[in-house]
Amino acid sequence: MTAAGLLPEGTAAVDLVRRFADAFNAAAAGDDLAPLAAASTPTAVAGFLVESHSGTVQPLASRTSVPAGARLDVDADGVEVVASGVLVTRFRGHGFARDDFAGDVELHVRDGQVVRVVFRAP
Amino acid sequence: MSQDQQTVGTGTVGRRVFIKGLAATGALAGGMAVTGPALGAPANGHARGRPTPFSQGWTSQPGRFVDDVSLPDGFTYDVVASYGDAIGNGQTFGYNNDFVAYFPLRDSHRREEGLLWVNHEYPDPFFLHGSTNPATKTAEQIRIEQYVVGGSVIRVQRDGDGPWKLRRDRHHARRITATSPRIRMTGAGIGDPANPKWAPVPDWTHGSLANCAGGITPWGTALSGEENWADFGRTSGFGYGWGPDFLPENNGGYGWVLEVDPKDPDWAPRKHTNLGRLRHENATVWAREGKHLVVYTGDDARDKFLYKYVSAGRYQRARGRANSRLFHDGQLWVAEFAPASQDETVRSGTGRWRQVEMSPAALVDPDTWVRAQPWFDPTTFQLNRPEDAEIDRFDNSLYTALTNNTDDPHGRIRRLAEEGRDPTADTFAWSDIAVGGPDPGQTRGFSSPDNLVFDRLGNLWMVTDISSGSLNNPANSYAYHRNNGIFMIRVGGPDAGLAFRFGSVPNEAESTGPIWSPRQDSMFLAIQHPGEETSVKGGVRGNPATYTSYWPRGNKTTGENPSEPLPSVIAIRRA
Repeated sequence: MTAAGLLPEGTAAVDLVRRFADAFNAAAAGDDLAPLAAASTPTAVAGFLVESHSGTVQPLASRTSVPAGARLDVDADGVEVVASGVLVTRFRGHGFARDDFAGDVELHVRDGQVVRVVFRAP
Repeated sequence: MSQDQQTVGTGTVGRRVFIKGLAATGALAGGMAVTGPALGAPANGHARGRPTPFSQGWTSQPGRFVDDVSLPDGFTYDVVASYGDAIGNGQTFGYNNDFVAYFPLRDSHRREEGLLWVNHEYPDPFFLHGSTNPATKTAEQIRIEQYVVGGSVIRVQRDGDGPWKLRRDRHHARRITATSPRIRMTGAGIGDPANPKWAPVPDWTHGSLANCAGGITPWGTALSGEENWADFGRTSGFGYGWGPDFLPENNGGYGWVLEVDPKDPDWAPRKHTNLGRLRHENATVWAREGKHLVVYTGDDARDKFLYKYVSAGRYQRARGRANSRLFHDGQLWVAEFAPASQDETVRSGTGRWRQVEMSPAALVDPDTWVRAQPWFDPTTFQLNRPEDAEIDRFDNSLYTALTNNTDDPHGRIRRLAEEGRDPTADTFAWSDIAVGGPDPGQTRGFSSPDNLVFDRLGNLWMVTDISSGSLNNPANSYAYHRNNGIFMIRVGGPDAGLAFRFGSVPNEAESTGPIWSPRQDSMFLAIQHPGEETSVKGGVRGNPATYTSYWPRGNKTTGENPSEPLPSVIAIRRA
C-alpha cells in the first residue's frame, strides 16, 4: 500500500483490474448487477468519453454503464499506477453501442474498491 | 539554419505558383522547387496592396499546453461566435462547432461581409444543463440538446483590416436543429432496406444532427456530414438518451449528407442518400464544366472505408443550384488499396474503385454490404479512420487524413492520384505524403490529423484531433504534442511532407473546419470541446474553478477569469 493507504501496488493492482473486469462481465452477463459489489462500492460512478461525444457520468451499477450482454477485455498485466489510487490500463469492449469501443480505462480506487471508472475511447 | 528554426515560406515559393510559372514557359517538371527571395511581411500584412500569404513570415512553433489559441508572433485571433450568442431572428449559436464554410456577400475596400455555415456536432450535457446521465434526462434537457446541434447560418463582417465580428442578421441568420426544418431526401437509398436493424428511408425527414465536417459546392450550397448519428437515441453509456424516435431501427432520416443553401432559407435542405449512410466525416466536391460531379467522403471509424460518388449527369455552371440534382442519380464507389491499406510499412501503391449497389439495402449500410462481397478483403479496404479530405485543385489529387488506429497511433496523410488526373477514373495511385509521430525538435511532429484545407499557394493546412485523455500525459507517446495543433504541410518541393506547426489550441479542444476568407488573409477556425474532460474528472457545474478550461473568456493556465468554456468560431489574421 502507499503511504496514503489507498493504493494496491504491484500484484495487487493487477489483481484489482482483473477482479473489476470479472465483476463487470458477470454483471453484464447475468440478470442483475450484484456481481459488481465484488470490485466496486455501491456508489461508484462510471464516466464514458468516446470520440466525438461528450462525457457521460452515471452510476456504475446501472444498465447504462453495464449493458446486458456486453463484455470487457482488459490488459491487466499492463496496468500502470499513474497517481495515488488511480490505475490505468488498456481495454476493449464488446457488445457496446460502438463496435470500436476501445482505449484506456481509468480506475479510481479506495480501500481496495473501485469508486470511479472512466472509459476513454479515442 | 536547423530545420526546426527554418522560417517558413521565406526561401521557397509555393508549389502551385512554381508549377504555373514553369507551365507558362513550357518547362513543367514535377517534384522540384526553387529558392526565391525572402518575402518580408509588412506590419499591416500587405505587400503592394495584396495580403501577405498566411504561409509566409513565421517560424514553426513548439507545442504548447496553454489554455488559449497560441499563434506565431504577428498573428492574432478574433472570437467571432460562441455558443449561445444571439445570431438574429431570435436564434442562438449552437454547441460544439465543427465544419465552417464561407459564402461571400460583399467585398469592398472598406468592408468585407459574408455568411458562415457552421456545423454543430454534438451537445455537452454537463455544460448545457448538468445532467450527464443519459437515462435520467428530462424532456426539457433533451429539448435543449436537440436545439444546439445541426448547423448555424451567421453573418460576419470586417471593416478594413480590423477584427471580424458577428453581425445579427434578419435576412439570413437561422438554425437547423435536430428536429427542424423539414428536409427532402433524395436518391436510391429511399425505401425499405428490408432489414430490422434499419428503418425505411423516408421521402422527407426533419432536422439534422452529428454534423461533423462537410464541403462546399460551386453552386453556393454547403454539404454537412452526419457522423455519429446512431448515438443520440441510446441510453447506454455513450448515448444521449433522446428516446426511440432517434434509434436507427426507427428513423431512417439521419446518417446522410445534408445540403443547405445558406443564402436562401426558402430552399428546402436535402439529404442525399446516394452518398450512403455511414459516419460521414466530410463531403469533398470536385466539379468541372461538362464533367461528372465527384464527391469523396470518409467513414470515420476504425477499419472503415473511403468512398466516392460520381454523378450520372454532368456539371453545368450556368444551371446554378439546379446542379444539386446531380446528387439524385449516380454511382457510389469504395476504395481498394494495393498492396495493403493499413500496413504502416507500405507507403505507396495502386488502387481501384469498386461499385456499391445503388439500393436501399446497400446504401443504408454500405459497410456491411461491402464486407459481404466476394471481392472484399479487409487488408486492402480497411483504413485507419478516414477523416477529412481535400482536393489539390492543380492536379485533382485527393489528400485524406487517416487519423489513427491501434497499430498507427499517430496517423498519416494519404494522397490519391486518380488515373489521368481524372477523379471519375476507376483506378488510382496512392502514397503517404506525411506520417505522424514525435519530432525531437518538437516543432514538426504531429499526431492524429483531422481536418484539411489548401491555401491558394498549394500548401496543405491541417488540424489535429488527439483525444483529450491522451493529451499532456507524460506516460504516453502523445506527450510531445502538448495541446492539439494547427499545421502547414508542403506537398511538393524539398520540404514536401514536413509539417510546420502554426499554433496550438486551448485545453482539451480540437480545432475543426479551417476555411479561408476570400482574400485568404484570414482563416476561420472552429474550436470544439474546450474543457471536455471536466465532467468525467468530477467537475462541479456552477463552480468554474473545477473546469479544465476557461477559454475563451478566461485562461486556466494563468488562472485568469475562471469561466465556462465555450465552443467558438475564431478568425485568425495578422495583427
